[in-house]
Amino acid sequence: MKNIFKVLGLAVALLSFAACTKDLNIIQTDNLNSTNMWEDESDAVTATMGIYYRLRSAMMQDKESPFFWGELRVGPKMWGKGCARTLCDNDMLDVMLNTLSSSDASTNWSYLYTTIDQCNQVLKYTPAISMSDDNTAFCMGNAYFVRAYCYYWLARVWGDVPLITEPTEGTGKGIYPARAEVSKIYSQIESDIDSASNYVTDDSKGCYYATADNINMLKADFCLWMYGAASAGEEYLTKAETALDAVKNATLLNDFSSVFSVYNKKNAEIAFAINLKYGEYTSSGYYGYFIWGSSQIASSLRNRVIPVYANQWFLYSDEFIEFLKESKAKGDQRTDVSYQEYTGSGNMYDIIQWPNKFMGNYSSGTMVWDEDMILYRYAQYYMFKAELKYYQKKYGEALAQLNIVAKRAYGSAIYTDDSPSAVKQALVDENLKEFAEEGNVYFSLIRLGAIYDYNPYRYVEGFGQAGFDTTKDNQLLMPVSQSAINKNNGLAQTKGWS
Amino acid sequence: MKLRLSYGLTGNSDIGYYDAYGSYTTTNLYDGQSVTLASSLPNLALTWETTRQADAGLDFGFFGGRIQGSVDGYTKVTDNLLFDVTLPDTSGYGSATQNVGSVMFYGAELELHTVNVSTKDFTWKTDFTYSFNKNVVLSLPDEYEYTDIDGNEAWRIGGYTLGESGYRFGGIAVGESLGRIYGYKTSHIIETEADADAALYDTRSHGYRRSDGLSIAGRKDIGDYEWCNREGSSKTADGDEEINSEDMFCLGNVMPTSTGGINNTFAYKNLSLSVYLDYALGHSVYNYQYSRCMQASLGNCNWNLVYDADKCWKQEGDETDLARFTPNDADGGNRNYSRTSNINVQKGDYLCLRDVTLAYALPKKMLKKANIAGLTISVSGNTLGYLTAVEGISPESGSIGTSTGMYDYTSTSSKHFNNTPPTRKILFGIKLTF
Repeated sequence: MKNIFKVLGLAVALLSFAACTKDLNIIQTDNLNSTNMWEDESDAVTATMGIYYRLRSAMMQDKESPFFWGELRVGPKMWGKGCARTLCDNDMLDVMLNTLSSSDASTNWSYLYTTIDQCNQVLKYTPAISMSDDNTAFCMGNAYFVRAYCYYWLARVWGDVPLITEPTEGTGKGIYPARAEVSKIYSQIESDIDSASNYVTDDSKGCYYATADNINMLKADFCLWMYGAASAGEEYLTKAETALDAVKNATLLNDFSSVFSVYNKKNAEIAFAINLKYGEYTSSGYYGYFIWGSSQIASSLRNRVIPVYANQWFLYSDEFIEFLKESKAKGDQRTDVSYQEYTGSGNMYDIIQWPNKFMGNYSSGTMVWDEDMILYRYAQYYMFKAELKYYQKKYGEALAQLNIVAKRAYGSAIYTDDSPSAVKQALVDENLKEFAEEGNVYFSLIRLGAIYDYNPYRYVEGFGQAGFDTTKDNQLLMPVSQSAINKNNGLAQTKGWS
Repeated sequence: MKLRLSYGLTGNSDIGYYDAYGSYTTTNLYDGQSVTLASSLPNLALTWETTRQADAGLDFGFFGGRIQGSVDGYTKVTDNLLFDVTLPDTSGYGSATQNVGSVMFYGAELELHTVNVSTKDFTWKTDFTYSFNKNVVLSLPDEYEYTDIDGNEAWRIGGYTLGESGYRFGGIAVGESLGRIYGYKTSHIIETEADADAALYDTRSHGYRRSDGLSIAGRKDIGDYEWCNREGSSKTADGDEEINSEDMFCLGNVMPTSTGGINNTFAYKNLSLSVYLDYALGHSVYNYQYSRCMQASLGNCNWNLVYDADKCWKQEGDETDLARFTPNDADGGNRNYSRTSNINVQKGDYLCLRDVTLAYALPKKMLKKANIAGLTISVSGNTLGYLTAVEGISPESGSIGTSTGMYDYTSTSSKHFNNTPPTRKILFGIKLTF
């Protein structure tokens, strides 16, 4: 009996020694991880597709979205509460009235940085992978383009922001950056745009990816911003002109409504869009905030006559609705696309009004949010050009460009007064009418120096004190979210905000 | 009497499969094409968490074994503590498992076993345990180092920073304990319109007033809480004090300082009864369920009202700790209940009737004829009730290092309000031996 134990003991001891001679670090090759990623062409290409996946998540958030960053801040002259003027939550009101605090949802920039990290990974690893020139150009060009695009949002919304150009790969001090001066961000954007256009030289990939055209649209937008909002000087007008001159496919569809139709995606007017697809990714984004809830609409009308979804949180202000209706009286085909009303629904509310431009597909009776998000379309090309001519004091040429957009809208070139103030007013009006709901007019009004006319600091009946108080710092920016500050000691709050 | 000394070293490698090498997901699509996304951050430097523990104990017995017991003291130091650290939101990742320094856990334990009565037919024994536990963070990695407002070197992960003074507190910090809960602290209930006008601007308040029906952000109404303002916190742009997310106070700790139990066993002839009570003292519970009930909001689920709704402030002169009750406090009201505060962070002290067992062993004489050696019939109940101030949910405490407890401490405002509490059970048993 004792011998058996001795033998067993020896066997156990030997076996356990044997086990330790082998490497205990097992690398799971069946799983994609940091030791076997970035080895071949498909790693780089699928990671580049990942950039657009990230960008789509970033743009399709509800409150951290182009609408909250780039339009709602035009204020209560343009926007108001939804659901018969009863509904708007605190986060929404804070953005609209400029009573922002660091706890408001829209102050969260993290989705943009997640997209930037994806770009940084592609930019770091693609050059070392042996692959076709076409695919290298695709990966590098798109990564530079989207990184520039994201930093352009960050710089306009928050000003000084952390500048990160390397992927996050560890947890040391390096991942706790301070905010870089906005001038450094602008330089990065400019150099990224230039790098993107070195790699992407044609429009073959279509509007869901970087093309020569949409890179030039971004460049024109950026350069006009540098001139109009960042006071960076005349050289940016020259750069904007060069970029606009390089745009090749500028077209306007005759029928304004077909530009936004879910049945007419990737149409000739779209320069850059984010693809949504039923079965792959659907999201109401901020568009869902414009549509009434089904319980408030008679069942016979739901998703037949009146689109329904969750709850209507926003409707244009009465003043803006009046503005759109006056335009309709002049023959503007855009009003019916941007705004709809229905009287006599016979349910809880007699008149149902809603912003109407972006809609999912509700042909089945259920709203399916598979609409693309349009980020640049060629109407902007003409408006950018008109704005450029206005800054260059070539007012007649500015009107000529504006009238291209006007002609599609009204059926005729309605602008004739070429005095500077009339041209400026026409630019403002046409931006508001053409791009309502698209999340960019706030920036256009800043560039044109008109934002304080639209949302001055004053008491607004029904809302209270609202608007941009010019005696305070950085009112056109947003505060940085408290959660971002709590996670990173290195971040300071924007002066003028708490 | 006996002296015991021990020292030990143990390791813990309780991490996910891909925490060291990071991972990518390939299940998503864009424009119909497959997508590769990084899903967790690689950390090749990840290593074992090690715990060094030293114990010293004394066993004793008096009166011929009628009183027996032991006293133990322990300190254990955990190095390379494995911890899921929240990463900055510019990193592209939410959190990553890291070795974040060392923590010392220390405390003392006392055990007493007494035989109170021992006669031929009746015995009564008592077992009593008590343990006292504390912890303190000893070190954190260098990326969390900063200079505090007195110019001293300090280390802290997360927490809060006061805008005016730059003072930092909360989170996890060297020299402080793990598991603290931070939130707003009530000062008093505003009783008049004049007081409401004079109240501090509150960034979380919608400013709804019943008198004019308007929502003006930051404003207060009568019946609302006035919150305590923290000295050195940021002010409004006009230089006035305001209530904002920096006005956080330590409201408690998820870890109890004292735990233990008392077991009494009574035996009379063949009948025996044992009653076991256990207790935990010194911890707090963020009662999110209570908070949701008081918010009276309709979300994805409907929340029943609590009886406390009846105790809410209604008019001037009401003696109550509870602010006015309002429908949808979170979206339409002034957020009296829609924030972590001393109203919903409740003292978790409890005494639990954990186990009661009544057993009867049938007399052997009766069983002998049936060739049965023994037959015991018993009935017992588990977790029968709590004596506690926590309303609605279980007061059981959190645990350090994992989230397996009822409440964890990984966030300063963890709200694991819907965890399954320990079940209440009644068991009937028959034990038969041949």
